[in-house]
Amino acid sequence: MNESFHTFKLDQYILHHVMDSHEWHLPFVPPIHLPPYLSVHGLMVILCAIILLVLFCGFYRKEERVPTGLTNLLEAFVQFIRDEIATPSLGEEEGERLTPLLCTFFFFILGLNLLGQIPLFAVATADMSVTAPLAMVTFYLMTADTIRKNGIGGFIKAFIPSGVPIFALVLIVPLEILGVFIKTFALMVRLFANMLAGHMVILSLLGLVVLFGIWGVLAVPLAVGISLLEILVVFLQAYIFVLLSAVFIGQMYHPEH
Amino acid sequence: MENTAMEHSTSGPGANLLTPETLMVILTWVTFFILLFILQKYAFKPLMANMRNREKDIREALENADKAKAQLAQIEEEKQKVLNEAKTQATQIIDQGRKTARDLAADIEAKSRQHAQQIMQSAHEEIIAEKQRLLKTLRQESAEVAISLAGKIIQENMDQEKNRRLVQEAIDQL
Repeated sequence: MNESFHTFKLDQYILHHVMDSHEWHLPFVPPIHLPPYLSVHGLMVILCAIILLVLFCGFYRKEERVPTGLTNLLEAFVQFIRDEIATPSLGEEEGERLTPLLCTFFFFILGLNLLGQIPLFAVATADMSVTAPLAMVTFYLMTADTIRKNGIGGFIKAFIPSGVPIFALVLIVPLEILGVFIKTFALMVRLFANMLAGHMVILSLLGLVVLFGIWGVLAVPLAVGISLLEILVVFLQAYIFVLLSAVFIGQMYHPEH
Repeated sequence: MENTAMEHSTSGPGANLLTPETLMVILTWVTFFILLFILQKYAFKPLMANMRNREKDIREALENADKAKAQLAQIEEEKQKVLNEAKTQATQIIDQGRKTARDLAADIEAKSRQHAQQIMQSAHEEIIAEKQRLLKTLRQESAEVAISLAGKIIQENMDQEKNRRLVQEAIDQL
């Protein structure tokens, strides 16, 4: 009895569940071994992409003059992103141009987050290898795309706030340059940490059942509560990622603000 | 044996969690950009165009509705005006008709009265003239009868012609 408590390591159990692997564990069947080039998180990423393609290319009906059902739902999201996120941060013209990108960000992250909430599926956004490339896309827009748009002069101007005395610039310019990297890093870590933390809390609570036996059942309602909270967090984090991306890109596009 | 496995598994997952894996990064990028390309081309661009068109349609429809409402109000106003005009015109026409009828009646009455008077007058005059004529004839005839009677009586001593003249003078002096 005592031995079994020692052999079960809660931290190992949690890490094993949130970490990427090449084995997909399903109940009642032996674990599915994935090829070395495809991990479980990779599978989730591809699955999410397929779901989104089916959703937008299969179920979205473009020809509807008065949208109903799913078409209406998808349009409501796109309109929200265009009117509440892209246009205020980026302006009318650039907002219109980047809305498809921001929508893809939103639906992709939301899809990955939601897939992670389904039992037996893994949450790919709780993986640096997924959030980092997404944040890098924002980084690209904040740097290379800003140079393409504003020229190298306009890009440099973004690091020099107007109305600041010269001697202060010595301090501020390096901070501003560092800021671009910090923003990208924060974008990456925020999504990763939020999704990881949610799963860790749920797994910790459920792990108590294994640790304490029948008395651990008391933790199950808590886990359910946290799961419900997770659904909120899933939408919130997708929204925050898109909103902050738009705000950061807007700051570089229009440095006068 | 167990220790080494533990060692391996603790360093393995811990490191995996925080260091990005190149393959996974590339996979994410590739998936994301394919998704972006396809969705932008086949979903978001048409979707946004749809939304813009719908916004335009709704704005136009609302403007048209406002315009139609204004037009309707104008038409209603015009209708009221035309109705009022028609009503006043009708009243005018009736009044005029009534007046004309009254005038005509009065005219006819006056004319007929005048005519009747004329007829009466001429009848009166005729009666008087006839009476005069009759009186004259009566006088002549009675004179003639008197003459013939007197002639018969005094045939012998009286010239017919001279007596007639005398009688005529006497009649004229009457």
